[in-house]
Amino acid sequence: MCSPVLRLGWLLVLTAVPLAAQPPARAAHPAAGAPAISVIHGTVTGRDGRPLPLAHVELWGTDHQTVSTTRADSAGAFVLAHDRTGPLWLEFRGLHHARHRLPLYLSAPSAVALDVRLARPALLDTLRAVRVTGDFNRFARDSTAVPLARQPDGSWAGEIAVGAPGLVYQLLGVLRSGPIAGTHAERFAYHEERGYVAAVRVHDGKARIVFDPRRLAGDTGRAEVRFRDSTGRVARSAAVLAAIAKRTTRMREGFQGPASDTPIPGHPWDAEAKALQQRIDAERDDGVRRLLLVELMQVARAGGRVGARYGEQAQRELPPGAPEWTLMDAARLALVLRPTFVVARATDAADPPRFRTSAALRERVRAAADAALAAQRDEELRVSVLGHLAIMLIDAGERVPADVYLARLGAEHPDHPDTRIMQAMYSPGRALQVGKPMPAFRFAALGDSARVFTPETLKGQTYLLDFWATWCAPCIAEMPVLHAAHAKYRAKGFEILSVSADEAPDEVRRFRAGRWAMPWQHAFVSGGLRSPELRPLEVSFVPRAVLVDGTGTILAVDDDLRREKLEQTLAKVLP
Amino acid sequence: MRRARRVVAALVLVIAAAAPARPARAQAPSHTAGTPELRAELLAEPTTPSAAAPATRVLLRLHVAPGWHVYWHQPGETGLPTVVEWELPVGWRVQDTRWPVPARLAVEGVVAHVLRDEVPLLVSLRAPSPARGPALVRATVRYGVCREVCIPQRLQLALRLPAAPTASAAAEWRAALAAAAPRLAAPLASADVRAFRDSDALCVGVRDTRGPRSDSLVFFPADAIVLPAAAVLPARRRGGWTWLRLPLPAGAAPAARLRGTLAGGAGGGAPAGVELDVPVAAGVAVAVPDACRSGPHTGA
Repeated sequence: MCSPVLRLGWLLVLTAVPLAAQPPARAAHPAAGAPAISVIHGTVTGRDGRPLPLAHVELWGTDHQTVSTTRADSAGAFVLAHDRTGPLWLEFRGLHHARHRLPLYLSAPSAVALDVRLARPALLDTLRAVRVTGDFNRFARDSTAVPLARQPDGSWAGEIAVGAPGLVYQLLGVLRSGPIAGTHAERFAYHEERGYVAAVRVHDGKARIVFDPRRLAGDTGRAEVRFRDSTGRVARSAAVLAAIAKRTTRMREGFQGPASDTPIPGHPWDAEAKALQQRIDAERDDGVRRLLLVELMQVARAGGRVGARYGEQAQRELPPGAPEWTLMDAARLALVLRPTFVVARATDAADPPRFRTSAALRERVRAAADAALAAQRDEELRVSVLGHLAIMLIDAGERVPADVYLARLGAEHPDHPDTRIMQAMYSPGRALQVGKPMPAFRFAALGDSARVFTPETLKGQTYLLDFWATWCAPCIAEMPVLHAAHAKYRAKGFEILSVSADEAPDEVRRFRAGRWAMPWQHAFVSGGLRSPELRPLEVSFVPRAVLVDGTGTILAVDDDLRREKLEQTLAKVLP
Repeated sequence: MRRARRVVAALVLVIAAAAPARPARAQAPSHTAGTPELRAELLAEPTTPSAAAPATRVLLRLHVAPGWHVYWHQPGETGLPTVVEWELPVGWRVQDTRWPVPARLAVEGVVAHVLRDEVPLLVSLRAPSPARGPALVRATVRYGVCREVCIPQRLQLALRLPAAPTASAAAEWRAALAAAAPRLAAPLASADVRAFRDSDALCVGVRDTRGPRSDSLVFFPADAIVLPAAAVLPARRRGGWTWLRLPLPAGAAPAARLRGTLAGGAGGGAPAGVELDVPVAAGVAVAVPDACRSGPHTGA
């Protein structure tokens, strides 16, 4: 006797499958001229080009909400109509095939035609235990899933006692990524959360399940995507999006290693910029050209030399409120400010110091930032812009307006990860401030707790307090510049005191026995960054650095003492 | 699918809204906790351990903020290891922890094993037989989270087991497990992996059909005492096996076992990997396969 709930569920499946099996209503083929809505159509098939028994296409936005879903017809054809523009994702699914996601950028309502060939999923190398999960156990993947027995011919089979007229099920232990619909069924159906499921009828209270892995054999390579208009706007946009994402990964990794503001020194950024400029000149589609301009600004951020007219073009075609600046990679790099820098760098000054002290440029950057902050709600973009602006103004000595932007950062985005660090480094009430006396400290020398370092013991010499730990990769990235600075300025009375927040002094000794000798003074605080000795100095993360002169006055902190800026700062202080 | 993404979207909002801007007041641990740089979440399999099936699983998910990273349990030559300390009721124990495949980060000649973005740890817990009523499990997660700076952090979480076996809990567990699976290193059966000591190197062989399919592989050692950090090495395929020669540092201690994760080498995205734990055959009587002898590796 089956329960009413199970019976209802089974009836729903039996009802739903034939309805779902109807081919989708064919939308009228996009008429000439711009359609009022976007229409995405094409085919989704297997890698051999043959239609799949069931295939679906889903469109969703960057807010993770589904915009539209449709089922491909018996020939594999599908049509999706929607009214969204901007960044979107298309997801293709097929019965017994691996799903494929494709990023799209629709700058305007568009007609998009594409053909997608899905690959077979990669099965587990050895099928050790194939189990059935389904409506009989609420699709649980625990011990209630029923094991199938391996048959001499390589298939798997078993029977499940069910008190319902039918059984809806999936198989576990076939794919690494999750369940898959069985290969033998009277019907297959698509479930929005579960994907594809198989359904069999129950005879004499038992459902017989057979699984033949040979039916899943086929090409397990990557899905193939072919835009019918391979040189069209959407295809070209997709290629630009992929290039931006790939370059972001490389830049992120590059910034972690070398001691430079430019990721991957030696990389031909100028050549990349030149090639992009040529593509922008040749591009006739406004939307694709806007994306290429975003990509060019990314290359400019990485250090590529970009002509002023391209900065002007970006300002003209991509105003601060343009949605293209909120593309995730563009937002985090504050690329919305980059056109202003590009124009200024090419016209105002060639060398960074003059560039940074140009009041006229700062005004232009502030205007661009204010316009972006007024127009954009994207948090990544806003935090990035506020941070860039505050640092630029602090660098220029414009403390009052910088504090206004820092206060906005704290008030409007108090929970963003960047806010805490910005506030510790730059907030008006912070412990370590340029021009103020170095707060009191007392650090025991590494390996000799009887010897202590205090502002008094170091008085009379210019010294760098370097807070670090061997477990801190960004601290290790500073090693080349620290060694170079020590070697160059030691004769002028410069000293470094590295204060380790490691767990044990031995960790520092082992590190120094390796590539980096750190031939200067060393101290050690017990308790790591929770040490009470560090609390008054607000050293809650590493690396942190403070440069103090012979009178005990702070000359520089943090950013001005990292990477190549350390040498620039010391050159001013110890000419 | 739509629901799964809604969960993710909602979680992003929670991360933004709930991360404390001031020191958190002392309060009972919940199944979620976070800082601006990382949010942790405990999720339990919605099953009730029984005498026949005394194990249940817990998924610890670390959502690392964009651009930041934490470190693997063996962080390499730098980095703070991510450590999870479990506080379990009497009779319960941690049976197994599956870690995600790390990535290799080289900084000034120093190599770290890092984890970025979504970091799932799948933990199998074994209940006493029979389990006595609901159990409260507590976890303390210690880690260092880094970007341009590093911050050591600690989070405490708690979760009552078993989770209520509702349809929505089951759906949430399935979605979470499906999202975690591609990131986790798959355990390798002992028959599918071999290891030999060959003078100044360890030779590791993995049956072709089991290991990552790549011409260059990265081995992340789980024991720093055997090998300090991961290196990208060419793979040599012979006779249905993929061989990798891991150079030992001078004076390396003899290792009875080799443990770690083998992952695909250079090439986009986070590669899938396999977890191996194999005895190391050593001594004059051991015949090291030719494919793993010293000499140029072609990666063919």
